Amino acid sequence: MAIIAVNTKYVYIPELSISQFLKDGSQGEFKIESTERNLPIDVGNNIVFIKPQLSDLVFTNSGTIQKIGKRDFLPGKPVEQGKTAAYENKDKYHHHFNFKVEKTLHKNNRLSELEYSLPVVENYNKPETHFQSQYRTLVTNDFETIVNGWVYATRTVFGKLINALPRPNKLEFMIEAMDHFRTIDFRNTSLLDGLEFLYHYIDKRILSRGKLLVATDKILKSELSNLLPADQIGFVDPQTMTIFNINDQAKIFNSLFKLESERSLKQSLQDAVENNRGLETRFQKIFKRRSWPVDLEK
Amino acid sequence: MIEFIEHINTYASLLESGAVWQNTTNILAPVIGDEDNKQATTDYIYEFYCFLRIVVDLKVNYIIEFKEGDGIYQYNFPRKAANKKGKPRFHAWENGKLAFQLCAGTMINCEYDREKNHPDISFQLPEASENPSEEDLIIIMDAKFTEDPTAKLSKAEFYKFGGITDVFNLRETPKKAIRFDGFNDMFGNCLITNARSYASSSDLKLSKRWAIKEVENFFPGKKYAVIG
Repeated sequence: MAIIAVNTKYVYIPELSISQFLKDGSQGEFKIESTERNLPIDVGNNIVFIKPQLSDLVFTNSGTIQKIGKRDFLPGKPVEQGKTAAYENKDKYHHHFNFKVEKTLHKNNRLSELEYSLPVVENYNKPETHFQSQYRTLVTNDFETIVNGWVYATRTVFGKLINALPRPNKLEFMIEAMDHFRTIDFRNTSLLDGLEFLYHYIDKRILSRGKLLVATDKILKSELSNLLPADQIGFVDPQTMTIFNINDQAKIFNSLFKLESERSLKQSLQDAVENNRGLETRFQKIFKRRSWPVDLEK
Repeated sequence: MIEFIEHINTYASLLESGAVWQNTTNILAPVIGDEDNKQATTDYIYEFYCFLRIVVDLKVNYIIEFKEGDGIYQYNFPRKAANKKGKPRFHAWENGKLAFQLCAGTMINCEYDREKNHPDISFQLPEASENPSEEDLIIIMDAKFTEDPTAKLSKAEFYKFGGITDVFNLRETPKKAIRFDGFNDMFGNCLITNARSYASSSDLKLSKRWAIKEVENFFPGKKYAVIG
């Protein structure tokens, strides 16, 4: 049976425009405009409601279709002479549905939290594009993932880390990984092995520079601040005259190293996996033979 | 305890900011390209770190002065080797007199026209001009960063530095003594690296002949050693 995700950016639901969630057990209705006479939405279908929030999407509630309401026919405008038919010239239908809210979704309910746990997401640069329509159908696995706020921890860490890198570094990493794992599509390469390789890459390429910047910033501040304005010291590219400020960059790495010293990312992942052994296995099956989640275009 | 999702989101967003220089589009760690990754590459961040560690050591025995550069170079050092004029540098004073100048990445002329070179760190005589030559040099240092800290400096790096001590006439006793403090074993032409030296401490004949000291394991949190 079909499962429908309704994006309330395009489908008006008054209660959601004034509050963050719909009330459990409440009822309501919505309307979908379509050129199709029949929609694949039926009584008893499960629904999830989506609400845009800044650049993210929030899955607010789950529910079920209670009743198929009326269907209004809206004839298209006649095509003016010399013009080609546009959307407004097409015949359209307004489909009305009644729903009942089942559950409010609190845990990991954002697309930014679930993007690497949903196989429907393939655009890691703009995952919201997969939900940018009045409605889309979902498979049962994805519905379960969303309703329970389940996260494929290993894939989430891998995806978030690699897609945080600038494109040249991503490309370089992928080439090194192709060479190392002797593959071009990574379909049969363990994500965990890939993650180890990625940790190593980030450490040698990025964090090693971060350590130097933090150490340099510390020297400037604690040893040389009576000689020079420590915060203003940096580099200039003589060709472009771009300034690279040491303190600005060191601040970021200081925060990163502080976060890591409080609790390492590896530990966090290990705990998440151990607390949800069954989930990782479930997701491994769902994502079997899928390539690594890397966006190489941006 | 920080939630898993919040943890990875925070970490990834810091990594994303850190991997690109703030307020620029320049990436922090440019792709190395075809070169063997294990080979030491020029790395201005490492060079500058070494430069400042040396300045700090010299503060013990000299009065150190920061000389501002001109315009955009007032407090910013050129990312690539450049002419000396108008770039920031340090001056070391003793007994009210300028003892030497300390420059980063400065171009040095020499009697072989084509062989001018930019040592990462140069100790120059107090009277050195804004367009210095090998006559103005006391000692020089080069910094080599490698992403594999277990690697050794390559033969090519060692020989290249040996060539520079030759064309710059730096193989004799330095024109002036530099009184380091903790770094007193680094008085000489140093090839500094975060990794390992090329020469072995049991065979320093070539290092001595070419007046090269190698400084290995020079990195935050590590204990360096001088070979040569």
